[in-house]
Amino acid sequence: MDQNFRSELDRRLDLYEDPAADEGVLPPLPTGDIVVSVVVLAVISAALLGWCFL
Amino acid sequence: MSADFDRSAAEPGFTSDLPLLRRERIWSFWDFSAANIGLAIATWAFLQGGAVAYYVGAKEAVASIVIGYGISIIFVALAPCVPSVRYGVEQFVSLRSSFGTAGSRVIMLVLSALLAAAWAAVLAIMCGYAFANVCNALFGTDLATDGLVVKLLGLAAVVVSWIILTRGPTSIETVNRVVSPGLVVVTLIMLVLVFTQVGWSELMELEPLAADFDKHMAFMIAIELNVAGGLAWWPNVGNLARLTRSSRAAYWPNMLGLFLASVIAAVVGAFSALALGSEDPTQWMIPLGGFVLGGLALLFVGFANITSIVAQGYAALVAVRGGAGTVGRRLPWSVLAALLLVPAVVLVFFPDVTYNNYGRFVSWGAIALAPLCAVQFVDFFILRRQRLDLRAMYDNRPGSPYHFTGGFNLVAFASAAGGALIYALLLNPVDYIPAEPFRWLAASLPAMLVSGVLYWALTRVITIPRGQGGFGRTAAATESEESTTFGA
Repeated sequence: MDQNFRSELDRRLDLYEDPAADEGVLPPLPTGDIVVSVVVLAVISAALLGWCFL
Repeated sequence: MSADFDRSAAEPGFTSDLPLLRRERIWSFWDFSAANIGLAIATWAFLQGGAVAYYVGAKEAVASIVIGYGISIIFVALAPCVPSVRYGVEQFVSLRSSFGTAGSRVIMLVLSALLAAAWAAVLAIMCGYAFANVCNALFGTDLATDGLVVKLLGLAAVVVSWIILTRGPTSIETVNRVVSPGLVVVTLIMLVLVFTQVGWSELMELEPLAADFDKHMAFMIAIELNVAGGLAWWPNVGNLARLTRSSRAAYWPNMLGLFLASVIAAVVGAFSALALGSEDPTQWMIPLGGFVLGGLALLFVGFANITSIVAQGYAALVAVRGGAGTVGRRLPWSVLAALLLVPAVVLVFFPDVTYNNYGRFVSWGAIALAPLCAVQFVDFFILRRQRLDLRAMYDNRPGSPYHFTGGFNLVAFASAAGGALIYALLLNPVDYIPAEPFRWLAASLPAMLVSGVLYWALTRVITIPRGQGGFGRTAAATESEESTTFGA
């Protein structure tokens, strides 16, 4: 790892870990978003299978 | 940031495998949606639709495309995108928590290079077919699909793609700004022409191109083709998602682009294939639109293949350059692009073999991608509950959390291999003949389930007791993150 890259990496990691800095890890994806996608897909899939085969 | 670092960032195709800062997250929800739709509305969606129409009729084509893409895109939008956006890191960096610091590099290098080369070959040949068909219609020539002219046209498509790639992201954006809306127009015109010439009720009655196939098995193959088609986005999409400003902005645009836009284009492709009795998209335009409109559309689709090669190639180059570390960063962008396209140059000289085996090609991708996606999903969402150790992702010293064994998490590789084996047992990737249980299970989904369960179990039995993977640090990382996250 070249020195230039290493020093920039260290600077950024410090910023991510500094509670006072404006940088940081983004909040996680809400579980509700995943549930909504799965439920919507399940409903659409069931409707399409019914349309095809019933 | 140092002056040297600024200069390197200005190079064409430069990508930093550093965690992004807030100002570098340049995409809103709608920016990512636009990029995503541009990627999805590409000529590969027509190929996908044509391949599906080989096995099933119109109703089953719609159902299999929606269900297959829906399942795979949810996984693809979650597993690589959310870790990349949360920590602002490239996909191969986020993959270190599951496959190890060296293992993730090998995976991204091999997969990105192989898939980009294969896609480039298929699309370049499609470009050759398109121009040959226009030439046959215009000049009354009889250019064969495996003739020298088609091979040279394919080669020319690869060379032009390389030239565009060497000019970096600006030229790619310029070309895509014209081609993506153009493909939307072509897709809509095709849809209108299909319904004008065939009609809804007649379309619904049309038999699949392989009419003598066992209908139940054919429907499951169609589902499998679409699951595999969606999984093909896995190597690239995380690197795009990390440019967005929230986890939601990284997730939902995939549903508009990779899912909805792909579904629409693939359904139009399937309808066209059924209406015209050919799975080859370059055979549709002139019969549908007549010589002038159809010929122009076919020429446009021919050129659009080049932009698809460039879009796929650029994403792969970003991954390869990041994955290759210092060597990758030092190698000139044009040389790296040439190296990536060399296999495609060879494949375009075997056009019929390459182009007519689209199903097998997608299947070969899925046999690797389905298990990898499952392992990454279980690692990030179930075992680590969306929390990684950012500093550990950049620490490849022995004993560091994501170093595992010599830089490789053998548990993850064994789990992925188990899933790949299940896939091969259910659907032979060489002759594309399914085993009897495929009728009820398909292949990618059981492969994902086996890989995911194996990874979860082996991690708890082997990895965690050995103190590898930094799983014990999750609680500390959680507390630390809660004090440093910024607003959604």
